Amino acid sequence: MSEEKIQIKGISEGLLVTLRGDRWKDAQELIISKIDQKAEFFQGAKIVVDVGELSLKAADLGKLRDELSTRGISLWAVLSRSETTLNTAQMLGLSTNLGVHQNVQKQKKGSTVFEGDSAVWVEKTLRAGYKVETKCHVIVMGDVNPGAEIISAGNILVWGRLSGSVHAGADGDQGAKVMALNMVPTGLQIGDRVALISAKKRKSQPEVAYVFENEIIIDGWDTQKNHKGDL
Amino acid sequence: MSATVVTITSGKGGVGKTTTTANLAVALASTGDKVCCIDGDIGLRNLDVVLGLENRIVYDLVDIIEGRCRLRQAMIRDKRLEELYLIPAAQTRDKSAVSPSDMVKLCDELREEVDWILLDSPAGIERGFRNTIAPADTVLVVTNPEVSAVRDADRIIGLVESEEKGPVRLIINRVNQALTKRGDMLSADDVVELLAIKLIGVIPDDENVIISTNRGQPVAFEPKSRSGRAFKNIAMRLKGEEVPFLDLNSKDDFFSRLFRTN
Repeated sequence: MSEEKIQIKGISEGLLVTLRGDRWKDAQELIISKIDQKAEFFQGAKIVVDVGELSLKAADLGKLRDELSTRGISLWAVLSRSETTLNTAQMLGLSTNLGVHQNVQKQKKGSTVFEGDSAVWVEKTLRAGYKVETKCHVIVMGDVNPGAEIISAGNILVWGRLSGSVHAGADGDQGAKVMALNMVPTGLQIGDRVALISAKKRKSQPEVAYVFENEIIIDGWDTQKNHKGDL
Repeated sequence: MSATVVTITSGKGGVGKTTTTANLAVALASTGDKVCCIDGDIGLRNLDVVLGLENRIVYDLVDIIEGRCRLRQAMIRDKRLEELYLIPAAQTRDKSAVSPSDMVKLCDELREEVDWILLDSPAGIERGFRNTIAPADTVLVVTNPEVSAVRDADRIIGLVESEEKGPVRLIINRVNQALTKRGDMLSADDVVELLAIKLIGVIPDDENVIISTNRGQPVAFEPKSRSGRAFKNIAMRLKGEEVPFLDLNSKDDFFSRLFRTN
């Protein structure tokens, strides 16, 4: 029976562990016992866990991550069809899909159909202590409060007030942008550039931050302007 | 009877969790409801002092959980208010003496006996916090209009939401109108805007709170004081009544007393 409930296979990002079952407790015991059987094989592995339909809370995933890290294994992504699980994973700073950000727009020549890049969708307010870290773009529908953090290899769009700390183009993409309806971040980085945030009150209007002549500038959003930076 | 479990928490220490718990307990009990408050701050107990019940402790929370006494034996009955009880924390142990499931079990047993269970959470986001949040039906987050307290409140709200506990309501304590007017302190509106949760009460900065706390006679016993009235209003809102918020802008002068509605 247990053979069907757990599958482990190698993928380019590490190991993909697929868990199937109704009870998280059983699934978790199964994965830990599997790992303990082949401790040497798993040592130092980066794993992605696919939990299917299971709806997991912060305590569940946090415990798994801790259990794995005591065995020298890092959990870096969680795949699931459950919204709760995906939200939890993002809260813990785990990636929720394997898509890698690509800087080129995916459009074939002559075609008018866009495939687009993948983005992480967060429909809630990110409070202090929450963290989203991903290779994809990030879209937040809600506020990003002081003490919350977003690290994205791509662009970051906040449909709300951005007062936390963000890092766009975290893999070194200086062309990344940060957009917010109300831009009052405590920390703002794009690529390897760090913005100097002035203490004076900013106007409450949509703004875009991008790198121009090696410095981050923040501009009021203007549909006439293309807000293109150095790249 | 099936009680509502209300957890009072804040993240940051010193913002007035224990004072709020004591005053809400008094305010609820004086409406005739049966209230039991539990001090969740094991190792650093002080709800008993604020309620003026410290010299009546025989058994405590850990004694119940470890089976040295029955639930009823550890419930200290207040002599001023018939319907007010306290289960004190143990002073000689620490947070690890209790687990979240112990607290859920204890509250489930207690639910049948009273109308309200008020749980006073310790500061921090560790074991003690998780113990008090586990059985909660409603969570009251207490904060001061200070940037650091608001940041911690935001973190706590995030943690409570991730545990899927709620509803979460906000109490802003120690609002000093003079400082706010000069722009030297966050206003209640600023705090609500940032935290984006529903407000259930604003407590004005009032030296009577300190005096009454030190005497072990919570200010809610004197509903004429501004802060006492504010606690009373929160109790009424917890009971589902619509009570307008105190106008903190008004000086407590003759005219405002004349036109006061609440």
